[in-house]
Amino acid sequence: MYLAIIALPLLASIASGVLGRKVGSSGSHLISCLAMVVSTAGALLCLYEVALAGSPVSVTLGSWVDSENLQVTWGFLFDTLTVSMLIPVLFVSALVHLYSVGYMAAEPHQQRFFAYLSLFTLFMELLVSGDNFLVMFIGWEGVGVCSYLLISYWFTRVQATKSALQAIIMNRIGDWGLMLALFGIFWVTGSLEFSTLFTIAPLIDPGVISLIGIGLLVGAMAKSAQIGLHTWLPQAMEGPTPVSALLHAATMVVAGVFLFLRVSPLLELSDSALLLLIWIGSVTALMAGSTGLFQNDLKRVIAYSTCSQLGMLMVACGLSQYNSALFHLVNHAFFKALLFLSAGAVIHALQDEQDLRKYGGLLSLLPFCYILMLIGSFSLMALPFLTGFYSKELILSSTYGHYSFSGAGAYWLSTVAAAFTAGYSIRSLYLSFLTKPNGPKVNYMGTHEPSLVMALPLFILAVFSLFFGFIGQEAFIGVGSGFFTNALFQHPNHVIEAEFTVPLAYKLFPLIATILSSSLLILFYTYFSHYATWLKDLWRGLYVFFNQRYHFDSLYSFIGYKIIALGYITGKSIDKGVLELLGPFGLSKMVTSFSLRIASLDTGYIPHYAILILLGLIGFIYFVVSMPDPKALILILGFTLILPYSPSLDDTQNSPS
Amino acid sequence: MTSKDDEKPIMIATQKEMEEAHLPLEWRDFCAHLLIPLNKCRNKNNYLPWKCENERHVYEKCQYDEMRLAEKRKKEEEQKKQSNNV
Repeated sequence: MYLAIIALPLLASIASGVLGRKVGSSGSHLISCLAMVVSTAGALLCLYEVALAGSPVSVTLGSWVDSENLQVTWGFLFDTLTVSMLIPVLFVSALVHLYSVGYMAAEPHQQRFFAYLSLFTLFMELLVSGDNFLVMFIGWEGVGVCSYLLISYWFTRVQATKSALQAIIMNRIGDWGLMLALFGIFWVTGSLEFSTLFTIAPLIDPGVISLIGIGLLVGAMAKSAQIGLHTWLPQAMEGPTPVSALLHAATMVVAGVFLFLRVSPLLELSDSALLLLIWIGSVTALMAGSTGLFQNDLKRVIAYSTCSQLGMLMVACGLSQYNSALFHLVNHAFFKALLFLSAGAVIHALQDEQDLRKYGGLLSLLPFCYILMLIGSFSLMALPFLTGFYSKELILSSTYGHYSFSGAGAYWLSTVAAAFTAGYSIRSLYLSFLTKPNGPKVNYMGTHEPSLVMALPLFILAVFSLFFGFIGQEAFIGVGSGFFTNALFQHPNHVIEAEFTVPLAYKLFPLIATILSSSLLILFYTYFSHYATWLKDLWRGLYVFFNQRYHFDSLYSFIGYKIIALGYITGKSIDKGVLELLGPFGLSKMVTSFSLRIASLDTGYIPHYAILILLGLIGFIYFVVSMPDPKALILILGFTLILPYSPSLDDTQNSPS
Repeated sequence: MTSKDDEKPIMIATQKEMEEAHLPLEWRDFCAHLLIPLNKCRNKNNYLPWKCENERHVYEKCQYDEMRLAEKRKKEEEQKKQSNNV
């Protein structure tokens, strides 16, 4: 069963990709959706067997690398962490496959799309279930490649291709950091197995662990879109909306956070790495939240919201609250997939219009989509007793309960980020559904609710966004819960008693800030919206700064241009200049010109030849006369006579044996 | 936590019992003897949040008491240090 969970997406991908012309688009839909549903059912059985019945499973398929110093197997580990990750990955993947049947119905290359989606699911499974870093790395790279392929699915659009390139280049920076960390791990432990590393970890020098931790952090920062390496995520929205929901919201982008959960026994031994995680996460949460509030593209707003929530997950990891991080990760997968897919349904209904300024008045036209987006947004805002509340509230309380400067900093930054989250969620809802229609009439002509095949996944995700937090709280974040056994490790000194020690006012403050910012925004849009332009003009610089995403893209464009210009200069003057002149081109040119000069001696005039013979004779006489020992001449002459008559290889071969 | 005069916590669960119950390392404290039945109950009821309410309440009360006691002792220690310095 365990291998079938991994094999089914692979088979589905092969069937859709390689046999696409044979099975057709309907066959591709049937095969891939069926494979995903069966895999999801298998994952549920795994959850029961591994997490609830307490029986982790390890499967070894065979040896992969078996050299003197390095042994790597194709091994899979199904512990509580793996099965907890498999649930959102496979659940959301199955629902996105189903949704795509309706969403991509008009596409001519559906088999290719479904092949990519299934392949992505396979790599995601490899990432979460590998029992060593190399198998995990295959999954890590595989999801990156699938992300590239899916962002550039509409490859005839220049913007889609550019976005895909940006995603893969940004991820290469992260891969560089991750690979350095893997080299470090192999250098220190002589192995890439998780079990070996975690056994040896307490004996490793803390400085080395910190260096490895920083390498892992660079890898995770790119994959999980943390500040500095985040710019690819909003650009990735150029891909089809189901892709944005599955890869760039629910599953792939949390790979960086998963990496930290997996290496928690190592990470817990480095306070420096944990501190970096807290600060990078909280600054990312604030930056992304404030940027999201000023974006006008619906999908970009949700993308920045993802970025912000990923920051919160990093903060939870930095606080050593791995169970809270995992809980928020799973919850986020459900409500963010719901938000993206509902946004996709709205975009689909409005002739692919994504600009919020051209929305409005959709409440009466798309009430089902409104309810779904309302549930998703409220869950994201962590309103009490919805799914997001249980995990986000705990993370925010834990930051304060850390009782340190970094903890306090993270608390205030995350609280402001939470207020921004409420702000952009309410703004999107208001501009889409509640305000008067602002778009051209043609956009509203064919407005319709999603078809059944699209509505069913949305309904299921809505149920999860409402109730999963409540159902899962005892297992994931129950005080003293033994659900994760050895899958997650928390140092006894890093326990945070957020439940009892954090004052009530500090627990309630993020919720108050959320409600306050939402109310203020609704008031502003309802009664003072005519001041919006005046405010924009008053603080134009500030507005442009946030609207242009802190000018990160402009900065990277400037740096990229300078580097390319430098590359042009070095390429022209060194690669194609000095090196070429001294190297192959210069040598060949020298030999040719020398040969031409020699050949020019062959004039066909006897007097010229006579002069040359005379010069040769004079030179020979001079050579003989200047020789210190005349016997050497006899030796040279002897060799000259013998060499032409020495038996050649051909003669030896032809001679009778 | 069980203490006769609320001054000195007593460790009731033994190392062996905690190991057998697979208690998380960070929760092997003075309330561990209450966590063992709670986790057993949680496991038996598939971690459903509306089950094991009594066990959970007793355990959380113990954790709360232990935290208050730790606070009290810390204050006393600080006062002692201050008086010694004076």
